[in-house]
Amino acid sequence: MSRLYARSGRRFLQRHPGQLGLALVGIALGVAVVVGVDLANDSARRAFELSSALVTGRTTHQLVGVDGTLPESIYARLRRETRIHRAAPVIEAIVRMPRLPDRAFTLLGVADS
Amino acid sequence: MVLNDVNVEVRDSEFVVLVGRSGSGKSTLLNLIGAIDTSTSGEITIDDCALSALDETGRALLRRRRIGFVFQFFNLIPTLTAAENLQLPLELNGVTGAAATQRVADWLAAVGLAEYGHRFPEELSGGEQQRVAIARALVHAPGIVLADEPTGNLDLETATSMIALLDRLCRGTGTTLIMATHSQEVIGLADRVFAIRGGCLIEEPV
Repeated sequence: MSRLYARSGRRFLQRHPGQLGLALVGIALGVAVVVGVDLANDSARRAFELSSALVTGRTTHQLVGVDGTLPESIYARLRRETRIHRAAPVIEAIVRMPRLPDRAFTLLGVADS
Repeated sequence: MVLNDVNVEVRDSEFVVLVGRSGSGKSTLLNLIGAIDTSTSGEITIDDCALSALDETGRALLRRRRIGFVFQFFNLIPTLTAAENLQLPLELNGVTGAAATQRVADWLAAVGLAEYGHRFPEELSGGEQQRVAIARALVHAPGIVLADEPTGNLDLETATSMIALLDRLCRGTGTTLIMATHSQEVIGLADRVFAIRGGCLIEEPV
């Protein structure tokens, strides 16, 4: 940008302190909104991660079937043949209850390793 | 259509005056020549360069390098001093430092405002502001100056001296001057006078 344009802009703001104040308030509000939205997103993400950790523990690896299911025999073989003892089966399914046929629930089951 | 029968060739260093009623198309013609507006048909050529062949950037560069403008309401930048207003077209054309400072001082002296370079436009009278505007239009040696009612906002005495100054400076630098005006005083100084009537450009005897 031309040096003269910069000087002209600076003088304009010096001559109009009210506009300078409004411009600064506008910038501050804009930054505050961005930071606020960012914090809210971070909080939501963190809460989700904590919830997941509560259910699944500090999982490093997962075995998931292509169709979302996994035969129980695979878990047995995994414990028996690979000697990985810090493994736990997680059951997750959408279920309905006879008394509430119109509502679906997520069922989570975690076995202690 | 404001202009529909305009066919004219303006020579180097010529002083051409456009007269006509308000709304007749004088400013429109100046805007077309100055590459501010584009015509719906026809061709305008400046130094063998057809304006219709230029894109927006090309037209901006042409305006910056080859054309100086003088307006009725001066259009000086209020937050720049008189000297800085003259420095701006030089800076845009790559002239900076001591060369620019010297040229600004020379042009301020040429319009009789050598001591007023540090003043802001609001600290100058209307006539002084227009003299700064004239210097700004000529400082980058544009080749063509387009003046749109440059005396419309000045009293008769100031207007007469302003026109004489503009005429003298343009002739001294070999600059073509095309001026739209209502002022009868100008006509006596012009090389050629054209009237715009019904969208047509008609040459009138000087």
